[in-house]
Amino acid sequence: MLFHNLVGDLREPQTGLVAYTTQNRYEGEVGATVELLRYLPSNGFQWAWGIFGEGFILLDEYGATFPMRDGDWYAGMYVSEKSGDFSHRLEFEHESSHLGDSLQGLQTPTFFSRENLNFTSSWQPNDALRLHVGIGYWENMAPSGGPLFLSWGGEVYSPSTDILDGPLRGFSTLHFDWKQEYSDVLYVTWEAGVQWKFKKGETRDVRVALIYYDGNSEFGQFASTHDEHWGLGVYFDP
Amino acid sequence: MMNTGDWGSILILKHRIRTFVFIIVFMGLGSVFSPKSAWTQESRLIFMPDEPLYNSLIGDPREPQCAIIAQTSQSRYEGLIGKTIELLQWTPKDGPDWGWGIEGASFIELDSLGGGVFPERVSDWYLGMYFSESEGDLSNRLEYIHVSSHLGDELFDTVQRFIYTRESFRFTSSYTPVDNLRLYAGVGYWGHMAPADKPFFIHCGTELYTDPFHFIAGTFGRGYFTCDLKFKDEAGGVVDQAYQFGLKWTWKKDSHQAIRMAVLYDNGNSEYGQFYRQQDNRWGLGIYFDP
Repeated sequence: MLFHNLVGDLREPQTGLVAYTTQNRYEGEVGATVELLRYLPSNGFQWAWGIFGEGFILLDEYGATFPMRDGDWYAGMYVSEKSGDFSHRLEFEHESSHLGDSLQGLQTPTFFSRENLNFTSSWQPNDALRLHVGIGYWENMAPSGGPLFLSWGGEVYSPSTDILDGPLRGFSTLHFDWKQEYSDVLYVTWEAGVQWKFKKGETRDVRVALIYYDGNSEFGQFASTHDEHWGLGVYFDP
Repeated sequence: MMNTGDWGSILILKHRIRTFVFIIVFMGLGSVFSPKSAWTQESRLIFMPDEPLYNSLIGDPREPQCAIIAQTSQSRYEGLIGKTIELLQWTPKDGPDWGWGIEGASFIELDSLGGGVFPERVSDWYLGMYFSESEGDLSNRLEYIHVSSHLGDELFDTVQRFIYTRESFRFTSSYTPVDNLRLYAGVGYWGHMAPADKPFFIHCGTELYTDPFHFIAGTFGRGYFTCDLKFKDEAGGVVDQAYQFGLKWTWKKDSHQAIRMAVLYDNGNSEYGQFYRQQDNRWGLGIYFDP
C-alpha cells in the first residue's frame, strides 16, 4: 500500500488477536485493504485508490466459553498520495456496531451506524520514525453527537537484528484521538513490542505488542462507557 | 497487604500471560524448530509468502474471502471479510512443497429496511490453522477451524439466541489437471459441537474457467463457474449447494489478485450457525476481492 497502515491505531484494518490482561476479555479482528489502482506519474507524486473492510469482535471469557459482547464493522474507500517522506490518505468510512448476543435480554441494543470523511497526513523521515495527524467529520451519525474528530500520534522503531535471516526490531506507538461527541475524553493508545519480517524491505510482518488503552470504549455499543485496559496482542500485517 | 481483588487480578494476569505465551510459542514452533539444513540453495523456507500453496476454494461460501453480496431474492446483504496468512512455506529439494498458516474470517448478514438502514441478523466468525501440501496437479489441506455464530441485535426481541460454537478438522484434496478445471473433495469432523449434533461432513466441488481474454485497458478476464456441495450429517442430514457463475478480472494474465463478479445460487440449510436448521434457498449478486 502507498499509505501504510497506522499500526498504533486500533481501528486500522488489521488482523490480530488481543488478550486483555486486566479483564476476562479477548478481541479478535479481521481486516483487509485492497489497493485497486496505483498511478505513478513522472513528477514523483504517487497516487492510489482502494477499499478496505474490517470486523472487530469483543468477547468475554467464562472458562472455555467466550460469549460475544460486541461486533463492529467498518467498510470504506480511500484515495492516497505519496511524495518523498510525506503520504496522505482521504477516506470515506462506514461504521456499524452491534450488541453481542450474550447480552440479549440484559441490555438494549443501540442503533449505531455512521459514515465519516477523514484525512490523515503522515511524515516518515527515516525508518525509525513516523508521525501522523488527522482530522475527520461524521457526515451521518446515529446516535447523533458532535461530528468532528482529530487524531495524532507516532511510531518509533529500534535498529533491527537478524533472526533466522529476517530483521527483528522493537517498536513503540502512541496514538491519540479526540472526538467532539465526548469532548472531555482523550483517547490514548500505547503499544510497545517487537516486529519480525522475513526480509528487509518486506511489508508483511508479525507483531507482538503490549497494549495500553484509555478512553471511552472503541466498540460502538459501549461508546459512552469508559474503558481502560492492558492487553497483549499479536498482529499479522499484510 | 494485598486484598482478594488484587490476587484475583494477578491470577487473571497470569492466566492471560500463559494463554498468550502459548499462542506465540505455538505460532513460532515452525520457525524455531525448522531445521537449519532446510536453508540450502536447493531448499527454501519462505516466511509469509505472496501466495498460499493451497489456493482458496472460491466456490465455498465459507472460505476466507472479502466480498459483498446482495441477495436478490430477498432484501438482504452479506459482508465477508477473511484472510489467509501463510506463515511458512517450505520448498524442499525433492518432494512436495509444504505450507503452514492461519485463517480468520467474519461473515455478516444484514436485512435491508430502506433509508440506509441495514440491521444485523447474524454474524459468524471463523478462526483456524492449516497445513497444506502441493505437488504437481495435486494439493491437500488439513484445517483445524473454530466457528462461532452470534444472533444479530436486530432479532433480539423476536428470536432467542443459542450458543453455537464448534471446532472441526477438515481434510481437502484438490486436483487441477489443466488451467481450466479444478476438482476437490474432502471430509470433516466436528470434534466439538454446541449444540450437539452429528459431526461428520463431506465436501466436494469444482471450478471451471474459460481461457483468459483481453478485457478493459489491457487487463484480462475469465469466465468461471463453481459448484460446491456439502453433505452434512447434522440437522437430520443436509446437502448445501452453492453455485457461482461470473467473471474473474485480473491485472495480468496469471495474477492471483483478482476482482470477481458473480451470480450466486445457494440451496440447502443456512450457512449461518444461528439458522443452521433452517432452509435457505436464494439468488444473489456478489463482488469478491481476491488478495
